[in-house]
Amino acid sequence: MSRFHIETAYKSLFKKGEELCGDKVSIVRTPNSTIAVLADGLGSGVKANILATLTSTIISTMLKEGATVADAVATVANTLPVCSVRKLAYSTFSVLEISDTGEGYLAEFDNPFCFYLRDGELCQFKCEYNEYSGRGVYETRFQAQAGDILTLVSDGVIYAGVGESLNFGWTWDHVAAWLKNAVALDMSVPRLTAALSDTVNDLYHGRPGDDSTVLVVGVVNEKVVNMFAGPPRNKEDDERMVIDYMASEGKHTICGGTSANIVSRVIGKPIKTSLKYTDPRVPPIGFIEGIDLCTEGVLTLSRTLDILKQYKESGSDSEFFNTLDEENGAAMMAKMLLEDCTRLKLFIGTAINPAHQNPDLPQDLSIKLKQIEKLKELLESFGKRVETRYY
Amino acid sequence: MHILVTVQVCIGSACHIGGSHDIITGLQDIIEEKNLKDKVDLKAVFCMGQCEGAVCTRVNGKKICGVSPKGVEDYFNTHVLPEIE
Repeated sequence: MSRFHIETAYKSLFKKGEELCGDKVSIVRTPNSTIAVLADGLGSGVKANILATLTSTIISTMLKEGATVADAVATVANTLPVCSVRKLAYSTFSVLEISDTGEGYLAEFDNPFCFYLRDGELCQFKCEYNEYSGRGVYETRFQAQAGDILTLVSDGVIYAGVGESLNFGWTWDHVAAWLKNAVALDMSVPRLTAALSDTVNDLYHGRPGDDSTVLVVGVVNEKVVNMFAGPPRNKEDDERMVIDYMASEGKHTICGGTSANIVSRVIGKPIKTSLKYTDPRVPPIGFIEGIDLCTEGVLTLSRTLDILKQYKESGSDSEFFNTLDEENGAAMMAKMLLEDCTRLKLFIGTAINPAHQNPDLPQDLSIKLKQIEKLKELLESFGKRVETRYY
Repeated sequence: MHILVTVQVCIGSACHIGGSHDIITGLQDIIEEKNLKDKVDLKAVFCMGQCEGAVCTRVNGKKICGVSPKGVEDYFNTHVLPEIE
């Protein structure tokens, strides 16, 4: 049975003037499945935020621990604080769970229906209507395939531009048509998320009339990236480390000048360097036949981490992708890791460069192993798997 | 006309911090100014393994370390020019 990787990305636009979002996405990964919940709390601002946060957190946590949706909905119904104005405790939700063998389950309560795209076409599976604690939930079970793209949105998205740029808002059908076109462009999940969210923002003229959240879930085949980072502690291990690294399937990237020299020597292919600085903070990249990306070490890595942190903190927007598409080593590495990698295999050399211990040098240089640790943490927070081997 | 001298400037981490970017652009300017493009081949090179001596360079294979961005002109006159003349 082939194993899939479930990629997720989301972006929320806040209703104009609000400091908190009334939509909340929660993503939980178990050892063999991914659970994504999008909740939209009643109203906006603090109250909505609390309702949505409770709802998405309760549901994702309970499902992770093996509870049924019926249990989770009952818990939500009995837990949510009742709004003093509306005398209601209400948050819509969509729950999507896909195992790494592709078994899928979708439960939807009062959110716009999921946009399910397969081979570029919208598709719909047989769904069942069930009532749990007085809430009508549509449940769908399906078998996912590589390439499937599922998009969940809060209603702010389908009402985008209502009464301003569009009489009736964007509508579900138009969002579906937009997605169909966009999917044909073969964008990565984060890029698709940003493009959809930006379009919503444009329809609202940059002032969303409602919290608007986009959550994209992609079913993809495993994409491995192997990274050679740092020379081994003992010089005798150079060859063994390179052989292990080259033998591993997937893309190959080298992070560090000395590492590049070692790989070049062992595989007998010269390094070509360029003098092109697109960002003076980042040293130019090199080229070795058979290696997909070859960069300087700590400075590049430090910038790569900044880019990935930016993605983690502010999510996808088109401005972020301008940075990601720059042609410098750091952006190229970040792009490969973010968009073209589901599993990173790190081959970490633990040699210490005496020159990097000089206290006059910026701290950046003495912290390569810490940076690698940070990189691992960041990628894992994006749901990617990271393996490490030390030499 | 053919290449008379190959100058390699290290762009490894320590040398980058030591100013290899400025040295490279400095050398490019001098080469342009003196119209020596077909005689000098300027290249970047990954870590030369002498990070304590940043910035490291090689002129026709000979290692010359401790180059600073301020001293680019001196460096060019002392180490590169004699190879051409």
